[in-house]
Amino acid sequence: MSRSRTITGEGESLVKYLLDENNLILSRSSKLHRPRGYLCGIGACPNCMMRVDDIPNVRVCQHRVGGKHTVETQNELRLVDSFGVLNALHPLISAGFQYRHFFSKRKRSMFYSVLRRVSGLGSASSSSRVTSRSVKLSPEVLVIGGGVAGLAAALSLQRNEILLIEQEELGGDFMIRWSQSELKEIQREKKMVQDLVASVLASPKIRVVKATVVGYYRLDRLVIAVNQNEGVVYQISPDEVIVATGMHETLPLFRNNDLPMVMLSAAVQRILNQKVQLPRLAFVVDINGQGPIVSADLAQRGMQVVGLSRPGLFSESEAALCSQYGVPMFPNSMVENVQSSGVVTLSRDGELQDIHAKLLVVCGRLQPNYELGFQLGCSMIVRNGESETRMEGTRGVDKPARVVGALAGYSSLLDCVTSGKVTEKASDMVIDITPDRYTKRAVEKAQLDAFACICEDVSVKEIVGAIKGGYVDIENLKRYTGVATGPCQGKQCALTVAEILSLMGTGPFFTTVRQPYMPVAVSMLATEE
Amino acid sequence: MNRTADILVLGGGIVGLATAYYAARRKLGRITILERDRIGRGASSRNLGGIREQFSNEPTIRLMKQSIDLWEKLPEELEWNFLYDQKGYLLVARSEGQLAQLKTNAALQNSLGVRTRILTREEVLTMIPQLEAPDLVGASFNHRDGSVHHDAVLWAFKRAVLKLGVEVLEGVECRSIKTRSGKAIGAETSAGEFSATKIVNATGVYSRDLAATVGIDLPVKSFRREALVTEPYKRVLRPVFWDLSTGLLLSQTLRGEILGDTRDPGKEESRDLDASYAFLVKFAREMKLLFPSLANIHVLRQWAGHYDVSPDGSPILGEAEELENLVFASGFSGHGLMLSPIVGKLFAEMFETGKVPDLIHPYRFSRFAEGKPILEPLVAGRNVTSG
Repeated sequence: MSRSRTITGEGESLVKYLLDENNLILSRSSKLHRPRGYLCGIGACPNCMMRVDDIPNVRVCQHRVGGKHTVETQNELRLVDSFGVLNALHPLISAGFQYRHFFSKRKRSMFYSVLRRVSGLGSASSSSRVTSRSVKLSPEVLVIGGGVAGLAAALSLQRNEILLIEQEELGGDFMIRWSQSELKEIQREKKMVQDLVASVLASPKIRVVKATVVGYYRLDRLVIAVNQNEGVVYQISPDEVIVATGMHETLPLFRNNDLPMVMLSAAVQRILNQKVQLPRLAFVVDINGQGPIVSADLAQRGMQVVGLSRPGLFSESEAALCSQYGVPMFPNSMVENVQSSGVVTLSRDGELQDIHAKLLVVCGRLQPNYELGFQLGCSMIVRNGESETRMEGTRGVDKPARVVGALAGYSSLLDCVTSGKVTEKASDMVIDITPDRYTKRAVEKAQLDAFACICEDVSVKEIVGAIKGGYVDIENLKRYTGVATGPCQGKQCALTVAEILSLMGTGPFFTTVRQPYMPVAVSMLATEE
Repeated sequence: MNRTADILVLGGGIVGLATAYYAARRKLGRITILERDRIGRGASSRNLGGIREQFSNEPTIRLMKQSIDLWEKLPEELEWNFLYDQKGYLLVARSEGQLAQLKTNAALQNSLGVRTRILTREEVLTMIPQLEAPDLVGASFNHRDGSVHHDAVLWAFKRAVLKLGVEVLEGVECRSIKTRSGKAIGAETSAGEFSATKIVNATGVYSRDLAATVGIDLPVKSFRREALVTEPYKRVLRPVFWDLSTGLLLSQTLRGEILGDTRDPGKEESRDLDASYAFLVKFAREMKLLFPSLANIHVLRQWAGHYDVSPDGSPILGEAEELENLVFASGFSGHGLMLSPIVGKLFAEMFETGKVPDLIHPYRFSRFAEGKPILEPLVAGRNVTSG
């Protein structure tokens, strides 16, 4: 039986009510029942799926609160979980084990009965979601993504009917993080983004819709977007499309990287905006370069940032910022391991050091959101060290979309905005799969508790083993180990797995992109005729 | 790379692999498989893994009965667990006409030793309590039917053939069949010429193109079929569920995901492999109507594949009359995976003895000209008997 909680509220996402400094656990992982918590905040991981009002697999980070709700944790086996039994069995039930054993009819039969009993996340319920309705739209241009590049694109387009679709909030990643920050270092940029948002909202040519684009269907010539909270399916036939879907952080590879105390930095900033009390003692891991500014922000909000780790060095200005906000720096260091009792183990020059911290904030490797771009015919440039290859998008798309912003490879805020303005130029998507220090180390050490795929509980050790066992390209590797086949469909693992394959496997490195982009309920899709 | 083989198998899908496997087990000499992409990248890795002996025509019922006997032994033989689960196929009738057809089929199956049962409405609802169908009249059920994990089957056969010394060449595309004096003698490929004593055309939807290179009009058409998979739910559905009215087919894997498809809205011949929104909506409406308590399940991804469909819905097996030594294994119309072991085994027998096995003979190419088609209306996603 699962713990059940009753929540009452209005308007915000449900997860706000479920987290506090003493409880970070939201779910149990699918195979090993490892405790999992709030990780990404944007519906790009499997961790926050819970049973809400008797409906299974609801992402509480996306689910909007409207009155009273009953929330239960799924996939729990109380006694087994508290002793970590399934996790302890990991070496015996590693990825692909089901193919390598139980050949006889009798053994298969026994194995299947066990498998049927324990597998599956969420069980069917009699409650059904509200009937959905469909809305048909035919704008001149569709801009997918309301981050800074999307906003700039919408404003600069010489068209009269512009539809902008944004899943989270206008201003995108920037506003998710900084909308309530009082950090003086970002106030100027914040003003610029707020002005962009205000201009878009004021423009009579731009219609803003809050929804998630789930796919482009070439055969139907339709872009489909859904808003599961509202029960609306948008069927869009645009003349042109601009893709400004940006990037999102992913989890780096270190031991126990999947524990509830590990959170991606955008998710942390966002949940703090919602006035949730997270554990105060935080350690920041910097992979994407935003470590110093994020640490400063956390310190400014009253968190105690006990350290900031980076595999390289900090610049003078970064060091000045850190010392101003009392953030101890650990250059040339990497996180080795975390323990939920409140320990972060760092390694530096071969030496290990334990640091007391209750929250690990990860400024994670950025994975471009390339899926919709592919379906819309855009190509992607894949960089690996000095070399570059090109992956073609879906063939046969009448008018391939144009790519702007971070997805097109721009990194600074200003560059993203500028790229949005130059919308007559067609761009390619850009991804860099050069393995970073964390991935290289993980592949060398091949640990069983460093997870690359958190949907299916697949560790680096299992992936390395599978590649060595002959599953050398993404299609076979994916089918054999299960990576990229879970609820996140590769959003957390695609880049990491591509990095690993580039080290020891062969191309193709990315699996074929398939609709829908986000899991959509059958009841949502069954729109009335 | 050996350019001369005793048996050259064109196509590295399940049919090609199974043929090579059984031939290699009989030690029929040097065997080479030519695959233009990677093993199983065509229909073999896009299907729902269904295996059933519930068919409407005698030859295929006989074949599938034996094929299932082989499937049951294959995991131990190949030393690989491809998750073969004999959970049964439930074909559901929602009209008296459909039920009558199922009863006729079941009687025929029973007479051939296949133990399909007809279930009453109550028995169906006991088996599938989540089903909501006021017009449900009954169903046919066979406990020997079931499904496999299609990718795992491909790995199993690939490992096995490699172990038996078969040469598997991926990335080699066949461009034409080479002939001399009325016999096929090899293939012209992207990697040069290959010669062989026997050539098997197991290239699925492309078999028609290859046949055309030697002037043979192979009457198979390629139809696009779509499918999808949902998130894994705790177990709800034991048998494979197939509704004859809509064509809705649901199969819950051991992992808990529900594989689904339905009769496709499109009707044109197509080699397009893109998924459609029309399919997704059709599926969702049908699933919601028949299984309202499962309607909260989330769809994770959809994809498309092909059926190579023959004029009567049954495979075309054996040599073409006009050309010796070219053996066809096409037109499986969606039943290639389930038939592959028995077809492979019988082909191997045919290669060794030089005689066409009785079970294969009905599927000869010339049956159309002779006016002896093997009509099989029970093709998932296509025209099904209705009342």
